[in-house]
Amino acid sequence: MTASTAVPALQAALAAENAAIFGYGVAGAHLAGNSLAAAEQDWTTHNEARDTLAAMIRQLGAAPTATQAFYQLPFRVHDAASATALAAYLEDGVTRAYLGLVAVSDQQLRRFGALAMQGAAQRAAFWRGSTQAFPGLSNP
Amino acid sequence: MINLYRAAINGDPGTAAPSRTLGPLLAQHEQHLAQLRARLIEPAGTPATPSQASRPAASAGGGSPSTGPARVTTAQLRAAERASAAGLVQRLATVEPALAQLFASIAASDATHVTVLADNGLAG
Repeated sequence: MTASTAVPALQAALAAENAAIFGYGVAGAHLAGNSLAAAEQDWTTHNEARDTLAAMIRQLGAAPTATQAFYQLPFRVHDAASATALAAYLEDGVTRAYLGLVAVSDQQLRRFGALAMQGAAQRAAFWRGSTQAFPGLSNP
Repeated sequence: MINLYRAAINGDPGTAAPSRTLGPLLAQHEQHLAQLRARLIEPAGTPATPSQASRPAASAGGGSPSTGPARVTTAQLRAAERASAAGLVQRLATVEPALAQLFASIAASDATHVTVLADNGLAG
């Protein structure tokens, strides 16, 4: 793994995971039933991913970027619909962040990023209720 | 993959998955193919066939002209989507970064299709 390119990409993925963890905490407060259960499951998934990324960054001799106390949300979350939209937004952000890992020179890291993208894209599709042709790419 | 979806949509409506579900997925595969064709340089004289990434998996079936179109099941579509995603990820190591990102994005899209095909409880 080439640390010079890998660490910034890993840090970006970690930042996206931290934002997702925060955001799911907000979204969960407005969800119930199956949606709440899904949000809790996704929150757990992002916590595990955060720990994995932090360990990978440490292995490269760097310090994982600290979690922020507060993350600016893209819109006001006040009901189940906006909470669902937030969850999709968060997963889109995570997908984009892992896309950065796919561009590094290390082949294992590329694969790791691509597989992580699949999970995030699947969660985004669940929350959005539809799939996208190019998850993570704003301008393919 | 595109041919497989078309066969499923045009197949027996009593056994194939509903077009309202498959239509959007087919449209996304057509977008994938367009992007791949725009990025990939094919050798001179290569016939205009879908790229390897867009072909259905060998196990996905399909009819021959002599026997007519075979019924395409949702299970076959799921298998083809999985195979496509796995094949694209396998190829990440051999391409330049921008193309790797396109492959990864298409693989992620394929992965979401697998979920849709499963979640809709379509006949398989």
